[in-house]
Amino acid sequence: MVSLTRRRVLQGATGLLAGLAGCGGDDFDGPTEAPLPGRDRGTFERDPTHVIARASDRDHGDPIAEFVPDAADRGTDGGTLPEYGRRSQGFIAGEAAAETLSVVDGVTAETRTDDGIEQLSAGAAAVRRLVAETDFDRETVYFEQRSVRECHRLVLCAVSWTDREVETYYGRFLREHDVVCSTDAHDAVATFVRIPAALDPDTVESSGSATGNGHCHVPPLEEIRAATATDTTANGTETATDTAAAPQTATEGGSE
Amino acid sequence: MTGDPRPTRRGVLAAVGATALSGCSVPWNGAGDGETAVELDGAAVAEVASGEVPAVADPLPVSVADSSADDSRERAESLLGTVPLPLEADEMPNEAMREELTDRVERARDLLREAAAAPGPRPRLERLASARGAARTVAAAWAFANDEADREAVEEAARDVREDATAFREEWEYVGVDPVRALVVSDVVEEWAGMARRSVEGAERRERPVTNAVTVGERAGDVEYGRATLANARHVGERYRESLSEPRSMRSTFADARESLSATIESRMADLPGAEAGRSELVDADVEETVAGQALLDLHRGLPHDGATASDDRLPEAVLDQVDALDRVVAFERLRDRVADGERFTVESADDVAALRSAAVDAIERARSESADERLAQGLLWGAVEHLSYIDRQLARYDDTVEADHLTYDLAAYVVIEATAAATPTACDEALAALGVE
Repeated sequence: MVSLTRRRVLQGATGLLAGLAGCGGDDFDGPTEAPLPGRDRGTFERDPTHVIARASDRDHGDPIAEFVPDAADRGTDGGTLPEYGRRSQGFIAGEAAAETLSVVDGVTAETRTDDGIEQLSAGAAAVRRLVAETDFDRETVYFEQRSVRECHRLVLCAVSWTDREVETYYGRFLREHDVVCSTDAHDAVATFVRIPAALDPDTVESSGSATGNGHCHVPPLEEIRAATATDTTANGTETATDTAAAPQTATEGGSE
Repeated sequence: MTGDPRPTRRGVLAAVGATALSGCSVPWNGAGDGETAVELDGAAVAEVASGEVPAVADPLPVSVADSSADDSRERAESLLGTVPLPLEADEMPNEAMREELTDRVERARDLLREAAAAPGPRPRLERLASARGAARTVAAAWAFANDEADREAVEEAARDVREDATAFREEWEYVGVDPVRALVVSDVVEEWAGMARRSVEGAERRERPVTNAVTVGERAGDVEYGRATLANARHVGERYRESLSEPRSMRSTFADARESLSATIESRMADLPGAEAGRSELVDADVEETVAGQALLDLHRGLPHDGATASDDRLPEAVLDQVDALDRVVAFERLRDRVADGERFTVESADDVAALRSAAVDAIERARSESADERLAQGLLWGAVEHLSYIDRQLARYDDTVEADHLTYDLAAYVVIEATAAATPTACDEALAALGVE
């Protein structure tokens, strides 16, 4: 508290604690061309079409969905897929890859609507429907898996992409009060998000993810605009640039 | 973070101090260069740090009705009384949510205890408002879980609080007889009205697509806190107005004081090292690796390098900010002179730590008794007392041998507290002159 007067410190902190800092909840409709702070110019979309599948008692080493991205690994006779070609994260960019998607039985699924969180019946079928209804000439499905505490849910708030990287933005929230759950247990979730661009999986080098605790972690619109104007790279809220194989999640503090 | 107990200003200060200081690393290693590090008895240091702290509350020169605090306390307790505590798994199966709400219950009870022990009516009312917010969060979460509360009703209440707070703020006028009293009361009233409004606005700025018992509870807690804080502002404002006979406008008095203090600060700052000055440029003496050097550096960083003017939005706050800034300017000037004369605040034993702390405590006590206006002095000193308590807690953690160099930041803080407290009577004199008080 050396660089501020006591009174100034107080005002600043009061504002902060009243929830003024951090993510913006500004109206932001549809895809917008805007560079992410610290990144190349990219496209940012709020509320993308997506499904999040969830399964109990699983972790990263036990994927709830897999597909085979490389044609060379798929074989030609429609027989059993070889183990080594399967991936539990990446881009589903064509019909052939889409047909290799497998989802374990018993998953639940939900998505986000204007009214909040919507539970989807028949979880695996909901995932397959999202993939099947994708127009791969113009769209791509990005797919990643996460671990989440049993009493919480991840909500996908936004996605951004360039030809070379993709980033997902989540909020972590408590599940309903009547969900029987333990603070020690974890579930696995798989996110399938439809990106309205035909991305080439071979050119995408990295993926990242950021998660707000109790709110959506989304770069505030003002910061995106500021970055557009000045092309600055400074931004404390942006996090995580990792390879597709080892995603990491940045989680902000805060109650929920 | 939203929701519940909006920390009081004093709590905020301590928390911010902790955050700011936690980023500091130990500046140097005293055992370097073949010298033997000075070691202190950690337990003795901790003993020193557990000494008495002066009781100074931020001022509220209005007679607050006892019933106001009593009503808030009863409200908080009655809200907690609507929930079957402790919550059990069969009543709320989500364990994380149960823990979250249990934490809020504890927070509410802590705040009620703190309110009862508060050193003055201002922190007491603030704690009680926060306690009501925390209690309401729990009560509304429980009601939502039992289908007895809904989000729309809470949002409607939030709109009411925002509109009421805005209207109240717009109607508030700077009037009075005694300029200091008018200044301090207006600052409190405006601060509380602003906090009430922000408490219901803050959550709206964050995207929260999920509705559950805790999100609804937190929002209801925000509304409760806002309502309580606005009621405090209204009560203090009304009691103040009722106490005045033949009040006159104070606006020009405040504006003139702001200009006058601003000129004083700018003129004195012109003779001091600029914002970019390093440790060696602050004083004509070798202060490397000394408590004195660190204290000077800390005080220098807190100087109003960017000018002393504040927003036009809150004139009383701007004036009080300038009094605070002037206090720091005077403190820096005097400390610099002492250091130039050879003072280093060298610490070689726990007794030396005790001497630094005693000097800080004595300076606070002396400033209270010697300042020409106790209300202005309290406004400057309560922060020093919070800072002192924070540093005490840092030093109280030691129980083993500790190198003196590792304590440099904390010991320098004692020196800074002493210096700012010692400057308080001068800052008060300048403020009174600027306000035209004889």
